[in-house]
Amino acid sequence: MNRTARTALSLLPRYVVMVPLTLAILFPFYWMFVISLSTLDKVFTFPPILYPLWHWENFPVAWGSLPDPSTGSFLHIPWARYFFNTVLVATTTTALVLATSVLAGYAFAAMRFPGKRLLFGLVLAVYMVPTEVTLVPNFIIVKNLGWIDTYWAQIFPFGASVFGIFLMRQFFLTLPKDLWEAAQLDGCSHLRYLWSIAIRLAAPPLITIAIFHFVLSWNAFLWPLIVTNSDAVRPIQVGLTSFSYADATNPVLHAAGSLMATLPILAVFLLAQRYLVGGIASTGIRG
Amino acid sequence: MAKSAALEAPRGQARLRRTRAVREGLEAYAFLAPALLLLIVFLLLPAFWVFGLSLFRWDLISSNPDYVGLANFDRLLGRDELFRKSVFQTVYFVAVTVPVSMALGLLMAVLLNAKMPGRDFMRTAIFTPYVMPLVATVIIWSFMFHPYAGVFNAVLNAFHLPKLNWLDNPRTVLPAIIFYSVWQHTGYNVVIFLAGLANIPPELQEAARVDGARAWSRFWRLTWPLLAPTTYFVLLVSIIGSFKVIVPILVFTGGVGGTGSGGGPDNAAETIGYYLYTQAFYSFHAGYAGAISVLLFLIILAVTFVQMGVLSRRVFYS
Amino acid sequence: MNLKKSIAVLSLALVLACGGGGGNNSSGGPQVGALSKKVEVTFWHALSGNLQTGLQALTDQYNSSQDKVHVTLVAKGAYSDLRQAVLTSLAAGSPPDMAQCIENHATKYQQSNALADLTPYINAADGLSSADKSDIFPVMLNDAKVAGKYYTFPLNKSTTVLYYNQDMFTAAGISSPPATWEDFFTDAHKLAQPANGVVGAEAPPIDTWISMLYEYGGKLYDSTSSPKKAAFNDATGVKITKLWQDAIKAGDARPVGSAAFADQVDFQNAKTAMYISTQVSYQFIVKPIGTKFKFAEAPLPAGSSGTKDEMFGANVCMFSKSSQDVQHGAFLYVKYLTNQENTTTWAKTTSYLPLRQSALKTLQGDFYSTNPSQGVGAGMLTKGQLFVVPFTATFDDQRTDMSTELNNVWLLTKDPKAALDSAANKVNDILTTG
Repeated sequence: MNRTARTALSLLPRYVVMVPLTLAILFPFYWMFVISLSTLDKVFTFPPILYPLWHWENFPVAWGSLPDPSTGSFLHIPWARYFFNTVLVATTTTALVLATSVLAGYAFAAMRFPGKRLLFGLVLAVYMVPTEVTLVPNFIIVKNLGWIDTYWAQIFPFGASVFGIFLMRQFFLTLPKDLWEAAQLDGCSHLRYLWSIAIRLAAPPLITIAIFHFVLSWNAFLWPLIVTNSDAVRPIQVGLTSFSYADATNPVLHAAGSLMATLPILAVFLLAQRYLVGGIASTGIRG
Repeated sequence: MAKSAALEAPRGQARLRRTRAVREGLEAYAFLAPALLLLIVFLLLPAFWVFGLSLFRWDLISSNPDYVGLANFDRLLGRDELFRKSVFQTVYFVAVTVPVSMALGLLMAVLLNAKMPGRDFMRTAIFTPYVMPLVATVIIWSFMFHPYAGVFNAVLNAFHLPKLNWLDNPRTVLPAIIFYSVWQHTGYNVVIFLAGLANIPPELQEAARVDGARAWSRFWRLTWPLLAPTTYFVLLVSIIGSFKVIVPILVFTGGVGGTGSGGGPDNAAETIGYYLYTQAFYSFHAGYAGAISVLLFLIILAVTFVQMGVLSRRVFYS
Repeated sequence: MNLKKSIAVLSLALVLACGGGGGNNSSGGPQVGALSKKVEVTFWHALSGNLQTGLQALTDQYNSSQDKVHVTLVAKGAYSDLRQAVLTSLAAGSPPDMAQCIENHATKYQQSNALADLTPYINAADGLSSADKSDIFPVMLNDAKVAGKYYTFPLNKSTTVLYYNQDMFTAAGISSPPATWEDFFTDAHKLAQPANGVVGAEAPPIDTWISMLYEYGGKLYDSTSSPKKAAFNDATGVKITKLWQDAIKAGDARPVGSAAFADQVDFQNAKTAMYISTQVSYQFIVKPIGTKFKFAEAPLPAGSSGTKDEMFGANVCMFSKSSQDVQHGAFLYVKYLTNQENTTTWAKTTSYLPLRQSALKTLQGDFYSTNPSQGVGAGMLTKGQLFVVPFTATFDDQRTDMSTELNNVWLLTKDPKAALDSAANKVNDILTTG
């Protein structure tokens, strides 16, 4: 038996478990896809039609470049503007979260300062408050900052992440102590060590934080809906509400719109997740 | 001379150490400042505001809330049966969702942590539920739970099991939402576990392979202990997150337009988070909601303390 | 003919001549002068899809038709999102100028002094003429009052109707839709095919149950003007609940599932022969059903006290924070939205009820005569069969508790009396604690 065949055989158990699990997890997504290509009279019939009917025109209808067959009129949703706003807000928020998490996570993991335990406890405690209840006070704060109907209101409240700080701290704790001691002997300051050594090893946690906060920001709905009023700054999730009517929802267009909103972020994930392998392992440095 | 120099040196070193400590302290605070500033303004202050409300009676609208002392807590702890019910149901939700989605997440992360064709696709597929717009997923899942046309009942039927009225039966509504939550959340855990696995040098694994260690014991002897900080992190974050669960309950039991019977049949899906949300925004009891959030916070704090006491020693000092 | 009457006739003639446009010849003593400077009005709404498109078109027309008032529409998601946005903005002291308001929310806002009384603007020289006032359906004008004053104004109103599958009726040998609930349950029994998973009807949502309660002479509360105690757990409440419970036990009806649009989907797929829902649902079932089967709408069946059907939908309200000029401008806009021509268009494109009797006449002349089903809701309106539940600020909360208990009955886990008593206790508790 040659090497390739042996490798393939050793991977077989992984496929036996993973393929059915993946398919099961993907099923609702597949169904959304099927619905998005269906028509109002075929969607949700019994027994359900579980294969796509290939009505691709639903996408231009949802985009607003073809008339909606159920009403005969065009949808007026400024998708391009919404996409732009979402990309801008999600990217900026993610960058801000990364910066604040790396700095604070490093301080908690590698620096000595008075009040460290207390402050870390406080940061964790803050995470225990459900954000839904802080909606009202946050709105008041944002209003007093003059940020209603701006990008700032969608960025800064999410600019620091307990999750991110905690994850970075956990990562920096695993870095070998000799690394810092060696750097110190070379006259490295904390900032320099962090910037030129520690952070280069931190790809996996950085990517993890980036992915989560990008998704979180991309899918934010209620907060942007409440703090923004004009299309110039509103995100894509607000656009999706155009498909839910007062008394019912158009499931076909809702699914098509949801797919339009989801696919870009899946593409980003597909590219980003490669970096989840690597980190210490690929740089060849070990403790 | 020699004598005084020998005396001088440690004193100078001590001073040097002290200035260095002060400098490091200042530096640390500079590192923390941006994060702390944002956390204080947008999380801590609002939290204090909400906790402060617990001493008032306020409908969110009128300009002057009434100070009522501890009356809200008195009612909440003394004679609010729905609150008690919601506490039990939340604990149930956490106790099932967290271990199941963690175990599944770990399993899939370990299996996908290898160079294999289709890996990128499978990882993306597993992460998809977390990325899809929530309302879209709930619409689809509510059809999967449909009493006679749903996928789940078709499966039960295939195994000659009785069909279930998933979302409309007090006994199955919470398990159904748990099922959904596990599906929705597992990909999130997979990503964190993958990041943790990426930090384990492959040489260690290789060495074990050469030793002929079998996969199972290799996992327990090498991967599991090295992954401990990650596991600890996921556990802490998942428990805190699940205790706060609101949105799936809201969307599944409140209907897409917020028209259904909220909280599920016989309030069987009422969780603490959902309860405080409806108290604030549906019943106009902002003060009472404040009191519930204080208690929810204390419950999470207590659970976290216990966890840290039990686990952190074993994770970090072993 | 006395003076008052002649002025009314005169102003009616003027209204007709000017197409309902704002004349300054009203009989009401002018308390508010004409708008002196240009105002900006922000209007938060929860309409989407073609309803949103319709509102936007009317608003654009209005903005370009004059230069005193400019209205900006802001979509705030579904009604539940809108309410949360309004509450949050009220808590922060910065509400919009106007918003769609469900009556019970309006009651709450009014109790906390957040709403503007519209009476001065209605009575202003450029407000509503007495002809306008008598043209708008009285039930809607009454519905717009909170604590006896016009704190809201009707906009999109609807009621429930009975949709029925004509093909299934013919197959079961039934010639006409049920006129009474007795007929309804007899028909349901004939229409049900347990072997195929088909039922005659699906157990009613809470609002239909409330309508039925009124149709049998029952009441929700001890008092209409100031409810203090639940009254629905009496013999009448138990009786109507039992009617449904028996139908469910017999397999003629089944509870509506929580799945998204479950009852609508069942009706579209001929899994239930009758479907009670708002008249606006027509917009969402007509295409999916297509030519699969023929269906029509009928009024809600009658009880021992005749037909009584709850009116739903939203009004608009204005917030007291805005300046008088802004409130005034906002009302001029509302007046435009609800004038004869626009309410007619609105009813045609959205299936909502027309707000004016003159609009109904126009619609009966063309649109409703070609689409008789669409006129069913409006028909009940003219017969005075629509009613509005007494406003209580906490109605959403009460509704949830009642709904939960009724579902227990439909699931056959609780007997009607016990469930209603328990619901009444919860409602009483909510009413006393506010």
